[in-house]
Amino acid sequence: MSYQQTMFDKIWEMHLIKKLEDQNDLIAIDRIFIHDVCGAFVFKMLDEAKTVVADNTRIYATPDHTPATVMGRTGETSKTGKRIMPIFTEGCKKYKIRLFDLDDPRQGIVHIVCPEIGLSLPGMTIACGDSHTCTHGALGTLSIGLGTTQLYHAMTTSCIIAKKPKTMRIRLEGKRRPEISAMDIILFVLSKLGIEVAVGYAVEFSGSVVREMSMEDRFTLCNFSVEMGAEYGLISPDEKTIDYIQGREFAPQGEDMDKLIAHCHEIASDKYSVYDKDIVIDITNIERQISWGINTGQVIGISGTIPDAKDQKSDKDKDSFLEACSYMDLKPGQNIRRLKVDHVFIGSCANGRLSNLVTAADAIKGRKVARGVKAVVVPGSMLIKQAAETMGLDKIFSNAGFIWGMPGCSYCTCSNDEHVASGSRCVSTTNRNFIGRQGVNVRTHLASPLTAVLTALSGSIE
Amino acid sequence: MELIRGKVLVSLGDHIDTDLISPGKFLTSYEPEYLGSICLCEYAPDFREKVRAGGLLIAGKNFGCGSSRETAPIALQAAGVRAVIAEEFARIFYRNAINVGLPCIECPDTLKSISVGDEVEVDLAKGIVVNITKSMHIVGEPASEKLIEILEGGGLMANLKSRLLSTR
Repeated sequence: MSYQQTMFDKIWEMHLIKKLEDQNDLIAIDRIFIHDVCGAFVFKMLDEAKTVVADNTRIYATPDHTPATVMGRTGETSKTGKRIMPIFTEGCKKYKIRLFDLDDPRQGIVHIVCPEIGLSLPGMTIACGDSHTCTHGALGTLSIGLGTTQLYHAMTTSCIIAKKPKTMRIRLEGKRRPEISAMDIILFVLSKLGIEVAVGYAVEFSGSVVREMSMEDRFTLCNFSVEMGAEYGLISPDEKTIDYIQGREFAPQGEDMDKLIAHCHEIASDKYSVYDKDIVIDITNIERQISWGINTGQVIGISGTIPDAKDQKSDKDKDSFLEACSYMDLKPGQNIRRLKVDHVFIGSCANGRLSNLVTAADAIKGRKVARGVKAVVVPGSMLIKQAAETMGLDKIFSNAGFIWGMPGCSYCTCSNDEHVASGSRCVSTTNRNFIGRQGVNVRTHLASPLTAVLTALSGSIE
Repeated sequence: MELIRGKVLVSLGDHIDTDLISPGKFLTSYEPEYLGSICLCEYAPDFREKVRAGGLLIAGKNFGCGSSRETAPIALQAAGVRAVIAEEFARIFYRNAINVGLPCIECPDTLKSISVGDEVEVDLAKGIVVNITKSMHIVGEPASEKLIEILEGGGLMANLKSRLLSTR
């Protein structure tokens, strides 16, 4: 048997320029993506250092964090946008970076836009100043989220200094029930493994459940890698990956595409490759999942009840458990179902893709959003918005009482003045239920687009 | 820099995320002074007051999880935190902290062995935290010479700047 290697190791080696001291490696970066917030900060750094970018042809930008999502918005509709957007757009001009601005038909959330227009390709190393860069790994890329200094380093040298992480494989097996989405599956995984299981690891998702998943579902899965502590999340490319890429605007064509297909086979993890940690999770018969607490591991099934403090392992776990109960205003033993909500949000780099919106719209079946609930749907990109409107989804949502928005991060990061009213309870298809993330004292429950719609229609968790 | 001596001023639990440290809605400026003023402002409104004099912060597992915003370590530093001792750091936060010159040391059992008010001495090179008040020490991850050099120079950028200037 030939030498067996994981996809992560293969891509890392292909991009290794030099081994440095302290077990650090110098890694070549193929593409760099920037959004408005990390962009504005890094441009300031570039200005101060009076330096230039190494290769502007590998850098792409689109605003997503600070623009408002109301119809007729401009970059300056929000207060934060007013500060950030001019620095961002000026910087793109000054450093000659290709920008998909708010008036561009491709604008949207950077982690949705770059795969969707064929900029994220299998085998590439990708860097972006955002922790959810792991999302692109669904295409078989090695993609990492960076802070400003490292992003500056990447832009001025086209490489990064990084320690090679250990590898972990999470194999998802079993039979998926039809109403179970990728969001339910990843929330279930987090509830089983906890949110620090992958600190210091690169996670590869595999198994029959992943192989059967659509590309859009795979993005949702990889999006959560960072929520379990991993800097990288990956899925070996297969026929579905190749089908997804074919024909996209920036994807290779003709002979180049043939080369990419060959490259996909080359980089896929070898059958018998060994991982530092190997985990199998059976998802047979799991029900829809929802978070009840203040981190992404505090998750239960939709028919479940809030767990008991007695079941927590250590005193420290007990403390954080009690903090979660108190912040969320929940009691052990209480049903999660029928809990009254004030706000529902569907969108984000986790669940703002076309298939998510189709699932959500299909579940409406002529009903209306319950009185007193503010329900908002924000497509992940202009291309998704366009496609959804061609299908008439915007009408289905509007007729039911949902607000239909312009693409952006919106109620996920709340960096654009859009935040959930203080003290409210919100069901959200996003990826973080941290204290205060969606607004002051806002109680966030993470769930799938289907659960979000059913909740909006009934006015309580459903 | 190799030895950082000071009083532990604040203790935080597990999974303190960067949204708590530097909330998204305030991300309009990169000025340390401003970031220090918003540091943990909603989660622990008295934080600024407690660390103003300068001292150490202790925390549990997965410190700095979540968003990759580098404003988080800058905010802690500007608020008065001279070093963070935690049981475990989220990797992106750790890299950002070193790059901005905020010393971080990973020590299992931090919260069991150190309390607020303790006088401690952190030896980065040896990876040892001596708890002077309790007359005990805990062993953590040592930092390499290179890493200490970066921290001593005030972070990666400040370091490069002074190195480039000296070679000119």
